[in-house]
Amino acid sequence: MNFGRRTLLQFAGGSAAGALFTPIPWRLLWDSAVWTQNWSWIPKLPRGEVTEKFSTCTLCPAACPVKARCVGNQPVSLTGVAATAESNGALCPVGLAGHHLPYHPKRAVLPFRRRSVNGKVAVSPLSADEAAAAIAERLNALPAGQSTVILDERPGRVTSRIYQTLAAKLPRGEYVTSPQTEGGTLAKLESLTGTPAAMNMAGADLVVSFGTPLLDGWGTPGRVFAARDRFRLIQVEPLLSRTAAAADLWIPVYPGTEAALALGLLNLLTGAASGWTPEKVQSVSGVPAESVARIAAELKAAKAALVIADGDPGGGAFSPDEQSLFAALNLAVDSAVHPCGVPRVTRPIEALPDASIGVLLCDAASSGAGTPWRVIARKLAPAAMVVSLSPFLEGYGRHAELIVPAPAYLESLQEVPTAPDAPAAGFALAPPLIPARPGATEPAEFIARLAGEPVTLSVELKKHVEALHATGKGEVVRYAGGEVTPVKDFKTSDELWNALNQGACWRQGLPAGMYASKPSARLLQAAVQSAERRLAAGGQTDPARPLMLITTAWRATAGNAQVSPLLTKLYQESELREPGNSAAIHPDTSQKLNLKHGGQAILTTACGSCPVAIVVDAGVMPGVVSAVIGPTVDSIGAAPRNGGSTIGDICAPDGDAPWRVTSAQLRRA
Amino acid sequence: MSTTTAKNAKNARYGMVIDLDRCNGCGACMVACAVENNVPPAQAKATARTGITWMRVENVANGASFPEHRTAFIPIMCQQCGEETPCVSVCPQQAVEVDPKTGIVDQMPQRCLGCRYCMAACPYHARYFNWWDPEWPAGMEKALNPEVAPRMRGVVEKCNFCHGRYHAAKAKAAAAGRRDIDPADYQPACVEACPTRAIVFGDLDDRSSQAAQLAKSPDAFRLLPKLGTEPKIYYLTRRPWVREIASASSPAEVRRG
Repeated sequence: MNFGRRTLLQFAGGSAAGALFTPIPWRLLWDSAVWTQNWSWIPKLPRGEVTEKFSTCTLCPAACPVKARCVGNQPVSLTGVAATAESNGALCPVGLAGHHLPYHPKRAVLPFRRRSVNGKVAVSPLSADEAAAAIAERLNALPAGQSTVILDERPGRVTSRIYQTLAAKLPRGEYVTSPQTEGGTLAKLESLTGTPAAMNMAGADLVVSFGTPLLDGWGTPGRVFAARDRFRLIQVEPLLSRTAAAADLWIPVYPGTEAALALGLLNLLTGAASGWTPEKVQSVSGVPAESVARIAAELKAAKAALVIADGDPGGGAFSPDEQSLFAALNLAVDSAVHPCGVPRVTRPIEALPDASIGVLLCDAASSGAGTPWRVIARKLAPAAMVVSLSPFLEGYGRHAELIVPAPAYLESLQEVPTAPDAPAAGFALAPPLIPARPGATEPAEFIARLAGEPVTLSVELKKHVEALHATGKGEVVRYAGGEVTPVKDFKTSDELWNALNQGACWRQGLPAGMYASKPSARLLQAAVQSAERRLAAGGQTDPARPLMLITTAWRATAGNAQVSPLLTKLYQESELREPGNSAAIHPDTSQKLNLKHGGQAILTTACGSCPVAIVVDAGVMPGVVSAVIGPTVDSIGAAPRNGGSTIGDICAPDGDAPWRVTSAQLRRA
Repeated sequence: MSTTTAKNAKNARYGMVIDLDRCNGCGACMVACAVENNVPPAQAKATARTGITWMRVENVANGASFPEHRTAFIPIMCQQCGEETPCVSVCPQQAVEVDPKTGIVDQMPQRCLGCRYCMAACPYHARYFNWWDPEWPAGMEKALNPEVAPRMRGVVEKCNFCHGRYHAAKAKAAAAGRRDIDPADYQPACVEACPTRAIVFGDLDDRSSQAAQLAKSPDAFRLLPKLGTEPKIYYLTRRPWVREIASASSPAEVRRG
């Protein structure tokens, strides 16, 4: 065979054609495309051993077990734990993105002091020691008639007990709780009967909810949803909330007149509230007379009914007078409430005289609810010092003179007390998964320094576990696998401590027996009189502000709580949830006021004005403005801002029933 | 849940059944999806039109006035069309493919040139364009899912039934000497996160799977069936008005009544 020029060309041509039938050129093309698009500016992904760790969510009082998928020691995702009846694997959106909170842009990094100098706000950083010295100086010079107050947003913890002890050591120290904590109806039952109460939702066949967001974050959501198929839900509230939309029956009621319906029900069930006929209830509350009779009949026929009136996390709690009535309703029916071994210790800030707080120390824990600052501000003396012991700059930190950063979620050992809807007492630990930032101080330990009583929270928690072990009562549920071990099977308290630190919760056995017998005539009469007093006091509208403002919030997104920037998916990128400072009105109201969906307006109450975005929603009662307390679109994940009005700032506290209904005016911006 | 024990790996047709009467619009599915797939938080200028939500829960209303007004929530994601998949047909880059082993419509951002033909073609508006480079607040990148690469500006992305989880389940099956995956090992993030258990996922060709059984319920329906795209997402409702709205050309048109 001759090897010539022609052969060479034939070989080259044949090779080129043949190569097309091999993967080589295509692979080169693909790889070069990938190599040239290495996206070096895109964040690098974490690398390391993938492990699973367990903890308990502390972002609200629900006490949901959490499974963290970690790369190295860094949690990269959080999910619920399906193996436990505590939450049945559910975790809310706030909890699902909770591992982002340590990196939140509004994180307080170092202690600092905020002062107003010539009308301008000046911020100066200082050390924790200097912060403690500044507070001590103020405490030493506390004027007569002023007190030092520790504000605990989540009572029922070991930390709460520490605070109560420390308050006694501080100059004219007082321990108070948030005005709005879940479990208000049960707390009232306890105060009326002297027996701590718990609810067995899994055993209920009828739940009548007065404005409680039962299916939108209330209680322990997984436990509520697991029981949902077994009970009929009647939701009483002025607007079509998520819970009302999913309820079996929604009963719209004029804002602030829920007690009238309760009086009508009590009258039909016990005859105690004579005069409150269904027709009278209709004239006061707008609830049709036949609906009143129907609910009463259902309550009478139910084998295990619950009446829950915990209120909306942004809407304010019902007054003690109204709660007496709801508690009496629970006693008047065959109830799913049973006795519980854990008393609820609350002392709402309302109990303090106005302008009496000289130094306010705000704990980092969040009740999950948004309390308008005005509720607290009216208790502050002029020039009072507010200290925020929080991981974030927002919440009470917006109004604080001193901010002392606390560890964020997953950064320190925390405790989780009994959830508001738990059928029995519970306790869990939330072990830290990542190290705390330098400069973060545990609030209880910081306050203990001020009181001159050194305390280490982990030591106190261990003492509590030792006490649990000593009783030998209850059982421990391990999150990994759901294994249940009686406490008496733990040989030492260290074993129990280690189990709780690896992800487990302690729970008391379900108590036997009924909660209480039928209510006494005296109790019923007192409840009726107090509710009538409350109804008579309300309902006066200001002609200059003809609209009724009611506020709502999604649990754990308002007040001291912060949410992951990823929740912009819900507020901004999908409009699934209305962000803070949006005001929903009925189409008739919008037409009357010449306001359009998406337009800007000014909402005015007796306490001030606030810019709002209008949402036209046919689910809102005409004449009512439903405004949202919560993160605003431009504030989720944005740099910290101070100042600016929010809906919470303009709500008017009203005696012992704060801000449930406020007279308001709405005009186009 | 049954474990497939066929000797050879068989093809699956993964799909979802979403009970609209259980969905309370909490948004857990949306957040879990974003965490799992490293979808970044919204940019300051992002809106409902330009944001990225592989799973989006639409709030719809019956159109009646107070107090007869009623609302419902419809989670909408890539409907994983089984036939005549519009996005596959129009993509000039072959950046969209239907995996014959799973029936999942895959999007390959490396191949995507950002022409957005697929977005125009998708009748469900379930595809999203990266108008910005992904950004997380400082430090938060440490909390990203190591299994899913973030996408760059200029490419399209969408739900892929958490393909990373599918591969992890396959790897687990292989390690156990099995060819087929255990259905319990492969559940998308939204299914796992739904607190009301409204979303059921499984192989629609496996008659024993809960998803296949629910898909045959008389209450089940699919979005825009007239287009013949054979979506693999089924919805359940016993409320006629919800079904009527979900069958409309754009649920967003009837939001808030």
